[in-house]
Amino acid sequence: MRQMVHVFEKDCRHLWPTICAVLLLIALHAYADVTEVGSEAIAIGWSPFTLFYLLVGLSGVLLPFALLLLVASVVHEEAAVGTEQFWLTRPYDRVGLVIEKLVFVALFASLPLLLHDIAVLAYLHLPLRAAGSLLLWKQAQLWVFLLIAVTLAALTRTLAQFALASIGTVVLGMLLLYVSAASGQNPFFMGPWSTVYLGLTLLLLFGVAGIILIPHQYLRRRTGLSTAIAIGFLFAGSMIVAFWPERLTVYLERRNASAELSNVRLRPDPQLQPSGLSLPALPDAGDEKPRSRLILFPFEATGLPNDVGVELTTSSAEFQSPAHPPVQFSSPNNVRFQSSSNADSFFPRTGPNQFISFLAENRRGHEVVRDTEGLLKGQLFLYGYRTYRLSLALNPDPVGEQAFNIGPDHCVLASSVRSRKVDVTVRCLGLEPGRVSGLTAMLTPLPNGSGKGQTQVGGPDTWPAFFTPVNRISASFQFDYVPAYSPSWAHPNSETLEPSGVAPNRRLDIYLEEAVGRVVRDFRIEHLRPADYDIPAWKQRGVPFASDPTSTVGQKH
Amino acid sequence: MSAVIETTQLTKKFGSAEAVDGLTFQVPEGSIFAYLGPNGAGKTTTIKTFMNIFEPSSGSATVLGLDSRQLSPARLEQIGYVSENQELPLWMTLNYFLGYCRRFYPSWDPGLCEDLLRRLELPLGKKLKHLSRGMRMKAALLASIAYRPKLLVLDEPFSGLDPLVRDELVEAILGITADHNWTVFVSSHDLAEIENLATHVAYLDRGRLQFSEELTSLQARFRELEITCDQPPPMPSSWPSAWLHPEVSSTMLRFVASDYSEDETPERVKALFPTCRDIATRPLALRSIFTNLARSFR
Repeated sequence: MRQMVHVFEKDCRHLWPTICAVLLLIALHAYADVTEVGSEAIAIGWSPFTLFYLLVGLSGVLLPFALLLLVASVVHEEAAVGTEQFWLTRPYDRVGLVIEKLVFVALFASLPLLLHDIAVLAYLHLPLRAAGSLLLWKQAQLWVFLLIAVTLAALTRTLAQFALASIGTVVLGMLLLYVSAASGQNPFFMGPWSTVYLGLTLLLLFGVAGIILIPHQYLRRRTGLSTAIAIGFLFAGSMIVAFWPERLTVYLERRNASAELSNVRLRPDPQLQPSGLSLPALPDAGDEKPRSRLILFPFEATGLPNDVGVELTTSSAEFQSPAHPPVQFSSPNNVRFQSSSNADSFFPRTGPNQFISFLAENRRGHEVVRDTEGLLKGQLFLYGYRTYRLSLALNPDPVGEQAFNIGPDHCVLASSVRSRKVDVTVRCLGLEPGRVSGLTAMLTPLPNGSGKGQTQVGGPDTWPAFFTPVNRISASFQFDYVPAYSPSWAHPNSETLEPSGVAPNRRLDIYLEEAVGRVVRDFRIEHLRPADYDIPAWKQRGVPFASDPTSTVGQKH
Repeated sequence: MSAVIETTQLTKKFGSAEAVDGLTFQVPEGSIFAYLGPNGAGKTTTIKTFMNIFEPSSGSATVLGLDSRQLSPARLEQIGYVSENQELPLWMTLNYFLGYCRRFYPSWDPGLCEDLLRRLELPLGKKLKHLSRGMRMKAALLASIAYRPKLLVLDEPFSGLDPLVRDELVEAILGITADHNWTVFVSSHDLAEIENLATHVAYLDRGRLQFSEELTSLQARFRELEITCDQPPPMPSSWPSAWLHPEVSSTMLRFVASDYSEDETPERVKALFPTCRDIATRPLALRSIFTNLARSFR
């Protein structure tokens, strides 16, 4: 114990500049977390504060590298690779040495980040008690990151070797993940819970790898063997991805499925003709070739809660017909299904009945089967979202800043009027990992009923995400008030504004979408003749094309 | 006299290359054991193997009675190690370095440390990276003997040092070992200094041990012989392998006998060269023994 303290004192004495740099970056990162400055550094020009703001802005990027540097430096103080190190022939207790290194990492990397998280949450008045499991999860992620760094440092002798080993590990890991995902299930299509459990399994595996390899390397100092074991663990991780059992995926998704989506079903019905049904706008509308191999089939969503919608993100389907090889289909565009009983909650509003488009992946295969009757079956991948709506008055003008709560987030709205346009910025803050997936604003009354804007979801320059306890989203919108240059914008309720400000009684409707999980639903369409459900066939039936709603609103997932 | 270091068929391979092969020798307690050999002979590998820096490929080594693979911190407290290539914590001042080392050794002797500091004239306040190579070696030596180790292992400690520093180091080692009866294992090319230091000598060539014995016995069995004959001596068909580098010059034959015996060698010479009339013998310095051996193993 005395020896551990002695070596620890020596490490602190030698590495104090790196320790200070890490602590400073953590403090700057905390400042960035609570103030969202940094990106505005350029706007204030070069001043004594410029460097400060630049550092604040860059703290999220620099912090991981500073932590890697600290970890590598402290491990290389008594490098386990090489034969000329001073410590090798001195009476070091090697187990104590490993413990000392881990305690050092805990005290100067893990603990400051935990305190950083607590301070940020306390400052932002976010619930500490509710964030307990989040903080534990973040610490677990951080420790796997740190253990991997300690392992790589224990397998190298210099910082250059450590940097190369880190890059090599990332490249090899990505390669193995890519190859294994290509040969097995794609983890990104496995479903949210399977992905979480897969992530946990990999974290556990790499944590165990670190726990085995670090003492092994210090006690045995067989770098070749340790490196082989490390590569073996990477390989094992990729094998877990490749051979993750599909049954387990099904079990985990069923066991953990969100209650809101458990009753949601999508039923194909060729007779479905609800009001407002229209053909979806296609992303490749100008290209006739993909359109010619497109099937549009109406589906009805049932079991949707009033405030929850589902969005089809993709599909995987196969058309089977006698005497022809199967043809694979997938869905090229997202489609949203919502309950009709609470249409005002959603923006944009859709309904429970929608076309789902299926695009044949092989044009020739489609041509062969298009006039054949067969079975189209497959899976629909659905993403569920709950929408929160809040209406805010934009008076008096200028509004300045206005705080409000919507759904799980604390938000601030800021608006200003400039050149007959009103700029609105909404910033929201919640616990990481944020479940907010979209933010839309609509100004009423207005000719078009909405403004143009862009939503950004994510923390402030945060990489990796486990360095911050909060998740921020921000969206900015710009609304045209005066239809001065376009007569087509004229609207019975439109008003001409004075240049000085916003007309009275303006309201801003904010729609915040929160992810409620993902589900996969099987479907079967019997006796389908593709030619009966292509675009010309629907046009013949007089179904109009929809304009793309996402081109006029600020919404993005 | 018990052995402080004992190796039995010690072998270390790097891949398929054998750095040392089947070494068996003993270092008696209280001896100053000189471990000699040309560059690349495997001297450093031997040391690193019995110091548990390398794991033996086969065979074994015991140090202070314990298998080298199990050298514990308690045993390392009794061993001092100085190597020409050792990486010292250069950021430390000498004062901090000595203080840092001191905490690892319960037997650290502050009086001896002070005494050595004075004798070696080391500047306490300077960082190790600012010291000259010779000063650094002195500092490493000081930090390896201030705790009175039972065994001091020196791997090429004099390499690249100027003669003055070398003399100071040799003096320090001699003085301390004489006072405390420590065992010193030293590998070196510096044969002139080793001759003054060593009580025992081992010679390694291409990983194989050629001999290991007391210096006095070595010096006794190596002699240069000069034989004068009446006419040019004919070389016998079976030349003894222990007689090295025979040279014939007119009526004179010269060689080095590595198995010289006052009773037997002149008789054997007379038997081989009956016409020769005069045999002169001359003892060899360690340097000459070393160069003769090195030439013969080439």
